[in-house]
Amino acid sequence: MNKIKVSFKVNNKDYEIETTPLRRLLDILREDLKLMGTKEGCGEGECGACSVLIDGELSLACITPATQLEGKEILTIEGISDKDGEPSYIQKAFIDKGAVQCGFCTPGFVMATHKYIKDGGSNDETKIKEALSGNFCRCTGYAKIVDGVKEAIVRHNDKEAK
Amino acid sequence: MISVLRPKTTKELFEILDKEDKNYLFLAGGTDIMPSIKKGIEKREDLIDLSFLKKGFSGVYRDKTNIIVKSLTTFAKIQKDELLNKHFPSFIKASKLIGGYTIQGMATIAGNIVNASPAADSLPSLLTLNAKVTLLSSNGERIIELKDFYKGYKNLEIKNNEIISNIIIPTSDYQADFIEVGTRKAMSITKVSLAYAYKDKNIFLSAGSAFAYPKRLFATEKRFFEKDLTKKDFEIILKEDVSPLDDIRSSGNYRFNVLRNLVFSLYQELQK
Repeated sequence: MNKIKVSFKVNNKDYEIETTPLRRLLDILREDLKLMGTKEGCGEGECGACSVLIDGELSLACITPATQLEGKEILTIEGISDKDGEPSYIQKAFIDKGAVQCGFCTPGFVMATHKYIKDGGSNDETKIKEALSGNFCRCTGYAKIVDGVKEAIVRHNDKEAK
Repeated sequence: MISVLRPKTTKELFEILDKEDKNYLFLAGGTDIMPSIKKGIEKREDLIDLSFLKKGFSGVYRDKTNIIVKSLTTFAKIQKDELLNKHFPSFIKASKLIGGYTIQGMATIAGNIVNASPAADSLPSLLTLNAKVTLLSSNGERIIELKDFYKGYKNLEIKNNEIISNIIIPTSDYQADFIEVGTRKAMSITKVSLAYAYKDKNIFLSAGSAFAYPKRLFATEKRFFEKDLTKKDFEIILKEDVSPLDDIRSSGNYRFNVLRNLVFSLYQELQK
């Protein structure tokens, strides 16, 4: 495969890498940038474990090829933690509501929740479920994840009110 | 060996397409292509990445009689679009069944059209709305009805030097809806679906996962408003239009029976 140079930002840091055009963003994050928070579940765009934000849109790193990254701004789970690696309010809300069991799907769910709240998502359960519809969890049965999202919305609104 | 060309402008794209008569694989949202390449289902090795052209080929606008959706518009953008929500709620309903939220943010309307899956969720609805596609090449545009775009399984009325630039949906006062039968709401592939649009004694019908390619149910449409048709009659009529396949999701026989029941329920409903 021909090699290409691509420049993009990950969590506000600039990168320029040389790679093959169809190399997956997931591999670039995990192997080149050593950002291991983004997980590979199914590897074919079904499960949402590798969800990241690309230019603000929730996207799947396992089916995003390098060729499509030029000039893009990527946000991963590492980028939404508070300074010094403290868990963000979403992650804390998930922990407090028991939304994490084995934890493998959690980064994807946290990214989907981040996107939902950023877009002004409400406490409406149907809307929350729609926003999480691309993410699979095999442990929790989803009820506690929905509770975690609701709790995160409450904490977000408290933070905004202050 | 896989090669990926990355045109920065439409001019560059057509220079590539005119240089050699080759069946290029166009990479748009990548939601079908990336898994297909990985699994070895997609064998074409000459790709053209359209991501640099995305801005110019994305968005929704209207003219006097149509709503026009540019080809690289994602389903997430389609679902948020006011014009489409106002005029074509059945199409919005169908587009919400495509993958899940993540896939909808990446997948494009033209991708769904050219992938030509018999199970594609947006296509029966677009077919009953009499959508057309604009095919663009360095020679200009030609417009073709979506119902004439499919000629066989993954066999499309498009030349190697053409791309889809627009999807044109005429506004109308027909009542339209879309019914899907699947195993779960999100991230599932449709077992069978039925789209319809009607007004007075006119109806347009199309079914998903019912034939080798997306198509209108012309024989059924023609006889749909005859009086006193029975379920058995529809079984005979529908056989002229569809022949669903067996696959891992469902048997052809099951699909046929469900579709016949959906069509018959609609018939009873509209006879009232």
